[in-house]
Amino acid sequence: MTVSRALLKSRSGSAGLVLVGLLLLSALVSLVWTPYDPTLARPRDGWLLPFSGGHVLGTDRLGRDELSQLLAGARGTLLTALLAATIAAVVGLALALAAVLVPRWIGAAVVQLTDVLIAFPVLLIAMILTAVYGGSTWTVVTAVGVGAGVNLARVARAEAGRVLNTDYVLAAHAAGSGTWRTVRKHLLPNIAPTLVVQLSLVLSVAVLAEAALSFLGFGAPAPAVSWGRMLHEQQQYIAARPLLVIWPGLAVAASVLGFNLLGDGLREAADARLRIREAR
Amino acid sequence: MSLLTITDLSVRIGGATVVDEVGLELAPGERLALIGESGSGKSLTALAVMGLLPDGARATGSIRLGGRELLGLGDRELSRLRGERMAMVFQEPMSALNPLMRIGKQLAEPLRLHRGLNRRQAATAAVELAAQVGLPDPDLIVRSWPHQLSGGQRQRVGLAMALATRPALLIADEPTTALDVTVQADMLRLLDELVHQHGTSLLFISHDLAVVTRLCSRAAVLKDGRLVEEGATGTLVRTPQHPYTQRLVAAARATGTEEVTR
Repeated sequence: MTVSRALLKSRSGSAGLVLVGLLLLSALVSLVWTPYDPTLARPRDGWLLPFSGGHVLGTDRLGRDELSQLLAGARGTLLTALLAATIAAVVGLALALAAVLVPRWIGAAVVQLTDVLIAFPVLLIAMILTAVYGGSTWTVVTAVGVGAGVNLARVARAEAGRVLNTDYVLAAHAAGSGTWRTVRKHLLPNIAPTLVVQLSLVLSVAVLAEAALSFLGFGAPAPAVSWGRMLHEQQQYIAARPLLVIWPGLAVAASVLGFNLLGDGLREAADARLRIREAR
Repeated sequence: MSLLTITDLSVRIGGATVVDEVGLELAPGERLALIGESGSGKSLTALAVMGLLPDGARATGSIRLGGRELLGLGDRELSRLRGERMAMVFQEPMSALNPLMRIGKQLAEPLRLHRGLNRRQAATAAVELAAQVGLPDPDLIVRSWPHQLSGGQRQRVGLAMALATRPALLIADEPTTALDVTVQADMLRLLDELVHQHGTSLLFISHDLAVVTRLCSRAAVLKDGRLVEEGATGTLVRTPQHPYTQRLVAAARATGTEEVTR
């Protein structure tokens, strides 16, 4: 309640909310309605200019409606980002808890493993997975989710270590709380603010990675619509029809910016709450 | 028969011996003070009894609670004893409460853990507990957050939590050190009263001789992890034997604490 109010107050937070809201709205609208079938090619209607032939943003070489593709692309982008963030949260939390809760030598091994995995760029993991299993939404989601998850694990581990060393965790144990109960009731709620901020950044990374992979041809294959592939298909005609490249590019940039700003806003909001708590 | 018997307790961290063959005994309903400067091993002794030593610390010897050996018990068995047979009050009231959990929930946590109370029973019990330790407006305070309470109020919450299940042994680790002087006296009176009421045995950790003389019948002095002197509080203060105890008493006199010279 107080967090959402603080979020609306911060400039970056409200800007992020608007951009992310726009993405969410496009994705939801595309579920029930797009001006045309985004995958329907009508070569006779190719290269239509904006506001001609009933196409608000014009059509591409194959006569596919640009606006419909953008809307459908939002759905794919959002789905990929959310799934990747979910995987990242699960992987990150599992690794972090494994590092702090188990006997020290196992924990050290988990930490080493995490550090090694961090060295692999997300895009590289995705390309390897695609080479082996073929391109699909799941390949992208898994690669980005695991890649972001190990990064998340590092932050979550530090935060979990801090919380586990607090007096209130000691007090909970002194009251007879078992390990899992302490994790559930005391550890998770207290690392949640940090995790939420990190996850919003994971979302922005996922949007960017999905676009990049599709652009490079490692993304979900047709008929799935993706902003990255729109960019890829239009780039050779950029001189003739720059707008067809600018729109999907803008969509990617706005989504990434939106999640980043949202993350910033959330951090400010959480900090403000912490400040109040400390001050009293 | 004594409630708590500690024999030859040693705690090692890495290569260092921080508690060195300490032996203590505590009868049911008795109050024993553990005195010493910071780093003398008094808190670690207490944590060893609770089975809450930090990672990397190893305890040897024997700690028996009601005839049952605690050292070597598994975490599950210890969890069953903690908060039920033995409980602890901590030094820092500011950090000993979960900042994201309402007071009522924290108060009733031991009861939910050990008595299997459901949510509604726990809520009722929390109000009773809050009233018992003299917190103002118990109905309101159980719904507030830790940051809305003063240090003294939080320490009362800590005490109420510790005594919720009427444990046989209460360990209080410098429970008044972090409090304002004005609040300290109230807190000690409350501790005195509740421990007396419930017949709880008290292991009181402190470096404040004045407080110890008021509260405890017996005292043990720790220095560098070793037990240097033990006896009735009055005798210990009037005729301290060990040089370290003599210095402690002299220091207390110098700062003008009247109870000590009485």
